Amino acid sequence: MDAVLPHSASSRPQGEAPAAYAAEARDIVVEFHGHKAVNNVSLGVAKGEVCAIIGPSGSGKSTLLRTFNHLQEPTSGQILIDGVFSVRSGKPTAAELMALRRKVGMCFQSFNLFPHLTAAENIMLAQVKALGRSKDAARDRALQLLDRVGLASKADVKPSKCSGGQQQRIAIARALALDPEIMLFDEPTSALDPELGAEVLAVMRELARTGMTMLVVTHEMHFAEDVADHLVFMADGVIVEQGNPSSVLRNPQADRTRKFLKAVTDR
Amino acid sequence: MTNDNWTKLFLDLLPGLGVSLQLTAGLLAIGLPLGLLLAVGISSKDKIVRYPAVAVVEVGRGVPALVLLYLVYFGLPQTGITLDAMPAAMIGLGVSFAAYTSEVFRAGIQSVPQGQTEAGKALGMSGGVIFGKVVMPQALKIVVPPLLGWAVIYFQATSLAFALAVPELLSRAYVLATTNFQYLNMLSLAAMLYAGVAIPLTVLAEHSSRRDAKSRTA
Amino acid sequence: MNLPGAFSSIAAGIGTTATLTISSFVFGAIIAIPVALARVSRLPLLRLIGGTYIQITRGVPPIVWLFVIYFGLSQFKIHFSSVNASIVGLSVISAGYIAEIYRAGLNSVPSGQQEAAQALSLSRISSFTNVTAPQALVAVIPLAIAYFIGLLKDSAVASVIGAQDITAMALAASKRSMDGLLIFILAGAVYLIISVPVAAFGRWAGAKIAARWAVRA
Repeated sequence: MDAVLPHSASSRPQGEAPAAYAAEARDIVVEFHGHKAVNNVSLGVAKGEVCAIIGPSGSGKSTLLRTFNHLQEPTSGQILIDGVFSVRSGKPTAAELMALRRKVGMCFQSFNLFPHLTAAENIMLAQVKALGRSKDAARDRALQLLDRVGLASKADVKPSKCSGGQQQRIAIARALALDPEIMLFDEPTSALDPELGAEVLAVMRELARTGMTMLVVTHEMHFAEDVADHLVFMADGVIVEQGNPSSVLRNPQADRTRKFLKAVTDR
Repeated sequence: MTNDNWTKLFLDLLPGLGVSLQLTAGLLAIGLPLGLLLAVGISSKDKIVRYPAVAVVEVGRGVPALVLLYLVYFGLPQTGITLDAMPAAMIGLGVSFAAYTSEVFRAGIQSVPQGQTEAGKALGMSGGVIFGKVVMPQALKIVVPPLLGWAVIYFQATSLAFALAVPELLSRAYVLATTNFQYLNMLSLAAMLYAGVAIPLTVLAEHSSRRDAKSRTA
Repeated sequence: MNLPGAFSSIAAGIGTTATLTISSFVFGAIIAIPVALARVSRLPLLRLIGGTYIQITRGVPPIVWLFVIYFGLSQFKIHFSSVNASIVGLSVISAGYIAEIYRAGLNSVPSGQQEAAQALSLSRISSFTNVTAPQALVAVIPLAIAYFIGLLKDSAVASVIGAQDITAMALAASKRSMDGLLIFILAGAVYLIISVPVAAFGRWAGAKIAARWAVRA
């Protein structure tokens, strides 16, 4: 495996254990019709770390996030999970993608719950079809996860009968059901009014406390400051600034970051 | 079979295609104004106007076009109206066409915002002027692509006139086949002629309705 | 000719019309599956084949299809009964239309559903059968019922090659009795009357399925 690593572990300082990231993007480029939506970005997330990505719309932050589970195929660059390439080379095989996505869970801005299935069935489907769990075991796990996100009573209810905040919490439970090592959140509260967003953020906070590695694209500056360990500001397809959330938010170094934060706080 | 032979068969069929196109022109001449009239009728607030219009539309769409042709050709003589096969086919198909396209016209008229009519009234225009000079020109842009689609479908439906012995494309192919016994060649060639007219026009209609939808959302 | 007499002579064709319509619809719905899958395939060649099939089946009038199959194929000593030739022809045609209905159904499912299925590491097959297909069905049912009613009327062309359906019976009766007006009004009414319960069933089934799966919140 090491032979295919462009930066092998030996390039690290001698004697230290290789500080492999739980999830790492290396030199990611995503091109749409000649336009570089993500322009040579590298980003690592340590195990148990919560990394928030902020930036204006069109900055490439969601596109970058989606390369972590290859929902967006990068034009070039690699994704590593636990220091291991998720895709050997070239076009990923179906098996590689499935293995990657079992390790990397994802929640979407628009929830994308399956409308024809109940909350419990939504959470059971991939357990049964992708992990091969029995229906009984999958249902037990679904009920346990629904309880964890505070929605045990909604097990047999269709998503359309749930509020947006409840739907997103079901979506989080659905992703957790595959026991992922990393969770991706693509603007999980952007489609929700503040009150409903708060219940989703509470679940995410709890998840962070349990040590889940999380990569969160968000507009919630408070969440970014309180919960995230690391903050990344992206604009025009590149990382403009990153570091400790409080220092980036309170003492931004780059003009572009200042301009963005001013626009956000002035609203 | 040689190329010369195909060319000859093709040329033999052309008069039939001409009759089919004549039928199409005739059914459109009847069906387009009737369709517009029915659209106005089914949108009318007056029940005496609306109910008959709805009845014509429902019957025209619910009854097979072939049965309408038979009704006009074999049924109407009892009421004292005896028609030749060609006009009978045009009327039967024209009524059927109008029933389907009344919905297109209605949707087109409705798509013009109410504010346009109000603006016309505010400018002191009469109802007729508003409809003719303000509403219709805007509605036309929306109805033309779907009407083209329906016209293609009814060009194909002129093949039903075979049943009334109108010497259109299919009849021509069939009659020639009974003399030269090249059934498959003659009929396939006729099929290709229908498709050759219909497919490009269908693609054009679909393309222009997509472009139209785009320009409206833009 | 009196009304009951006219009706009973026309009614003798209802069975054939039903056979033609139902068989052609069922066969068409089956043939349409590979056609629709080809039409939405990622492979350009398959898309071209699927698209061409749809264009050709819809570009040639139904009656011409039936003539090619009934008279044309007899040149190769392939002989169908007029009912069988009609079922073959109408099935080929309806497959083209139903394939487009399937495609509309698939397109009605938001792309986020597909993405969610992928993110949950569902296989392509599982994502289609468990996520996309059940939702597409909700859009397909009302369109399919409307097409079924269209096919019921299209099946009248089978009478031209000799199938003894409602229209053929009406034509024969009108020639016997010289009372075409009554007979063809009655024949039209029979088609209308058959389509009413079918349309009602379509609305009921559509509402039932939409409610069961609560797809549109």
